[in-house]
Amino acid sequence: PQRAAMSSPAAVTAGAAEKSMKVVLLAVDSSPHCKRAFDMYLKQVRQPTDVLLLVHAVEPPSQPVALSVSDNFLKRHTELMEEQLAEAERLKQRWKDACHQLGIKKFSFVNVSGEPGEAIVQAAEEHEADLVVMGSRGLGTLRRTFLGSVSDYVLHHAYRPVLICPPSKREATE
Amino acid sequence: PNATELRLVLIPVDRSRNSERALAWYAGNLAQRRDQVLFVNVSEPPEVSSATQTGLAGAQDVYQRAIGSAIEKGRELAEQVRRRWMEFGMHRAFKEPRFLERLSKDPGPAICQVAKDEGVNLIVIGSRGMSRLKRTFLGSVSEYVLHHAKVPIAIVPPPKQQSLEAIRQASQDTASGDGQE
Repeated sequence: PQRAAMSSPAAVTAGAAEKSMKVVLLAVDSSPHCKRAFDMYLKQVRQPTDVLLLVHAVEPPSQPVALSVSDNFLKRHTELMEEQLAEAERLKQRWKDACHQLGIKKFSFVNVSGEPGEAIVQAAEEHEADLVVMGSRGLGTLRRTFLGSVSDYVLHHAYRPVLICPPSKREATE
Repeated sequence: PNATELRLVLIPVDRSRNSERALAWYAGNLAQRRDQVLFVNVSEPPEVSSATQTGLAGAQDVYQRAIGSAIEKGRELAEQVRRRWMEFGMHRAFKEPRFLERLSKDPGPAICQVAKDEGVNLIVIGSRGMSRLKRTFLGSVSEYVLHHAKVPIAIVPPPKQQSLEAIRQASQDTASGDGQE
């Protein structure tokens, strides 16, 4: 199927949305917000022609500030990195299993490193995502903003359509 | 997930290019045959200025006419939107959209109330795009709706080129001004 056309009257044709392929990027981490955003996307937005790209930003491990960078510090850093990568692989497997169970065949999962917001925006660029799906109270451990620092960044820098899924009533009151 | 249930899609509209873009994007990327689209336009209620000479009856007359004019403008906008809908060929295969008019000083809460009353499943809005002031990125109405909606919201930005131009222009404006940021 053809890629969906960008929004100009001449290019839009009725029924295009149902026939054309969309690359949908879902930014994931281990929080429950992503699963919720995913469920909402599945129920309210997904079309069978969608190609799902699951992007997991692996953040560099943080350690408490050390007064001197000893061998122990470096050793610990390496251990943490390995744990992160192992956890990333487990997360990848969980999502793959979830997609298989739902009968979703057209998807891929990528682990990206670096600043999560930038990494996700870059992934959206590289794969020419037609839609980026995120939860509010979403990605990023710093939840200063309504969206969560990563979702906030992506919303303001992606220059692409973004689907924001709200928290459930219970989560909203937390 | 039940992909055959009716999906109620709310698209706030005004005369801006943002709302046109939201409709175009919905039509080309999101529209499903099970959809029922709801357009809502929120316009400002006319000012009720105290009439001194004309008295109460006169003031009422002025107010009635102002309301009439607001309603007429709303109808024009609905016509405009309907024309766009047909230009996209939506009338051939998709359910006839509904148009709602609301008079309110505060569009954000009014839109959220409509979303709640009608039980919408999805909202599609156009954003103004990147601006120097992050808080005006969405526009105050879209910002409000994003923060208060209980359903997923699709935010449709202007093309990147347009946003970058706007930022560049805004920076130039500051540079030629007092240069303070």
